[in-house]
Amino acid sequence: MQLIVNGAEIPEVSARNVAELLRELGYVEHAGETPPHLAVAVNRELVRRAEYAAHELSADDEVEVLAPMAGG
Amino acid sequence: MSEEMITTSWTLAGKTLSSRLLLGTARYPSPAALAASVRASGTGVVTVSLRRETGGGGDGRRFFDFLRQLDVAILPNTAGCRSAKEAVTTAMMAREVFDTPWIKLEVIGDDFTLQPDPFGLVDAAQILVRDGFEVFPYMTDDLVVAQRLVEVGCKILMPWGAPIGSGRGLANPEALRAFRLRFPEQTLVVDAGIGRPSHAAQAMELGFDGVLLNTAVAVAHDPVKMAGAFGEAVRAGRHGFEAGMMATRVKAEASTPVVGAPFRGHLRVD
Repeated sequence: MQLIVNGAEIPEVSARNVAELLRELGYVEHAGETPPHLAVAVNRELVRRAEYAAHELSADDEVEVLAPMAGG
Repeated sequence: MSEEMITTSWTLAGKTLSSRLLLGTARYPSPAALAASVRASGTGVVTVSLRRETGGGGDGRRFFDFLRQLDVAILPNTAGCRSAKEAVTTAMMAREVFDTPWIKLEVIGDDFTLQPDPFGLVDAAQILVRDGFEVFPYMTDDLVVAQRLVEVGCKILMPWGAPIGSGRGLANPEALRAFRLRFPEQTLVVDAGIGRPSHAAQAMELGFDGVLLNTAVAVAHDPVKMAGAFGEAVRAGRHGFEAGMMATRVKAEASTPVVGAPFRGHLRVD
């Protein structure tokens, strides 16, 4: 299925949930890892770390993966 | 009186701090300059943001580890958000990463001035306060918006001095003076527009509880020295406020006693 991740269309994603997506896109080495510096939203709603595996993805979901950056 | 005796700590959202300066982390020439500036300023609070991370990229992780080494409180922001919904989601993502209920709430309403959208700001603040956040709303000096924010539970208000990054200082000091008088119980921080140490001192002399700035330090020729200067200016302004400043007057009044001045007439002694 196709997803939109950080504003970019990603075709043919095989991941079925957030945990698998993070592994498939190279954010983590193993599905199930929950890096403390990452936060994920799907369709503009926070997905908590504990819910990564349980949160199933659907075609055309909009996923945001954010991390700390300098700010004022 | 020693410096230790006149340097008083204060409490910001339940956290005891020795400096009333809050410092942004953007636009420094290097991470080393940022770290040294944080130390030189004496600040105990730095602002940060969240941005998109690419898979396999390590920028976010490196900055996350860097922040932890600074050993200061983190105030995440919602910079760039254009709606209450975006700001609320970003705040919740920031809480997930930084494990803090603190959020500098920004809902931008105008791209030219980066003036906050007061309607979205109040809507987002209400949702976040109910969800347990300690909201630091970036706002203008509008007293009615401030009142609405207080009504939805904000204990901290952060009116701008001038538009973000403008360096113009306190564009309307009389409005900020009224702001202080109108909200004596709230914690008030001037956020944005500060360009010079004297601007920060002026805000503190008005009785504000703190000053938040970023660009004035980060783009200085010597950020570390400027950070120290701002730390001193904030402390000096606060001490001036606490000491009680003299009233201004139109007519001059000699400070040197007139009694005993030479060459000014004589008394006849018979």
